[in-house]
Amino acid sequence: MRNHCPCNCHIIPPFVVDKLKEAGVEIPSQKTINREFRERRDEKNALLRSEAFLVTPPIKNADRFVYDSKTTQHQRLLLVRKEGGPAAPDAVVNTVYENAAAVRDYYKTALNYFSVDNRGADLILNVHFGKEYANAFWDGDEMTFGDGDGQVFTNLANALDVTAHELTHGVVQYTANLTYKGQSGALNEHYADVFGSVIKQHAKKQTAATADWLIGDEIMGPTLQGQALRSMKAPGTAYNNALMGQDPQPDHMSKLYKGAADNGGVHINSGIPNKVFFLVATAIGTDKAALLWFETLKTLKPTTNFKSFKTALLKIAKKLTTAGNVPATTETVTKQSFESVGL
Amino acid sequence: MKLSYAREGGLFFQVSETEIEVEDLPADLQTLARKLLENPDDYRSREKNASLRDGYQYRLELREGRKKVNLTFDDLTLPDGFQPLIQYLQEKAINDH
Ligand SMILES: [Zn+2]
Repeated sequence: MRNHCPCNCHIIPPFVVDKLKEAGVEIPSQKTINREFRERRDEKNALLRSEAFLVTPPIKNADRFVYDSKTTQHQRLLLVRKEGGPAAPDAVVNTVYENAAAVRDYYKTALNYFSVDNRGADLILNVHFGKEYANAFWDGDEMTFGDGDGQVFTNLANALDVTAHELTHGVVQYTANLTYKGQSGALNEHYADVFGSVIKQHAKKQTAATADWLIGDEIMGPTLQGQALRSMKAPGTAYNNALMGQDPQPDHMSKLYKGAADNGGVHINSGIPNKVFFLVATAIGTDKAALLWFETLKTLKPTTNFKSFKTALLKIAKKLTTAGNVPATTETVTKQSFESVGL
Repeated sequence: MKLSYAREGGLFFQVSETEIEVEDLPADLQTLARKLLENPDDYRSREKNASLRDGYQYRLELREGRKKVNLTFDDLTLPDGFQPLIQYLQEKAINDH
């Protein structure tokens, strides 16, 4: 959120300012934040372009930093917990801290990938963003969670699949960097849902058969229990209520959304590849399917569409089968799963 | 003077829209809306964050006679001081719905 006031003052509520001062926090002006943000990004971009980065990549430790936005729309406002530090008095802070570790550890252990950039970048998590802000997002550098409106959504920082979803947007950014519109955008959303569900299943010690395959079911408001944001098993059935309307996700190419909303349906058409992942995971196991999907992600172009995604997955399926990393049936199962959604 | 508002996006994709006569806004928000119409460049967001995933996009349109001002923000480019206006319009959009 930017400050356009010529005096460079803040609109952070006075009680928050007092609390921050008590905690010894010097509140940077928004101009300072913007400058620092630009400098950080410039440094990072320069580094990414440098030869030194390619030869000897700097390795960080994927340390977690949790900040409290104190219901303002400012990020990195008050650092409330950092890697290895004591637990915070705020349960939401501790939950997001633990969930970020679960995501980081799954990527490292199961997929040999370290943090969002495979170079151990810090994991920045902002909680209590905005007033009754019923959303969470990845902004290119960090994750941000609202408290929810208490009606449709409760606190978005409390759900492991939501944290895994947002962090995976970071992973996608540093790998295939799938363009966020149309089918490549739907694949971007698809990957975020895939690892949201995979990491939730892993944490709950579930299998493809015992998992519910729902995304966001743990953040639904009190009157929406049992519903969710999306269903990977049965796209289009996650919700149907007066507050949210009806789940618009297609489960087959014949129902592909072709409109302009949502960047050409990135959160809508992700239902089609989501269904494919569910079918493959059910046949070969969630972790094997996750490995296949992740190894494929590293080979995708930003403009990949559903058809070229299928081709890429089949190519990697063959490779992984030959290496003995996935079951012999993987290629056939993947092909049949795509065919069942009209691809 | 008419003010149109739209919020689009989110992890759960949703479009919220509403329209209001500026005279019907609370006094402090009327002042803000008038400032916006008079000096839109003071508030215009400088750059779009192409890396934003699941964030909201906010659109405000002000019309008075022939004069029309369009502004677009996201969660991180929303100017300070706009939160009460956005909250008011968002609540109205939900109630309209
Ligand atoms: Zn997303």
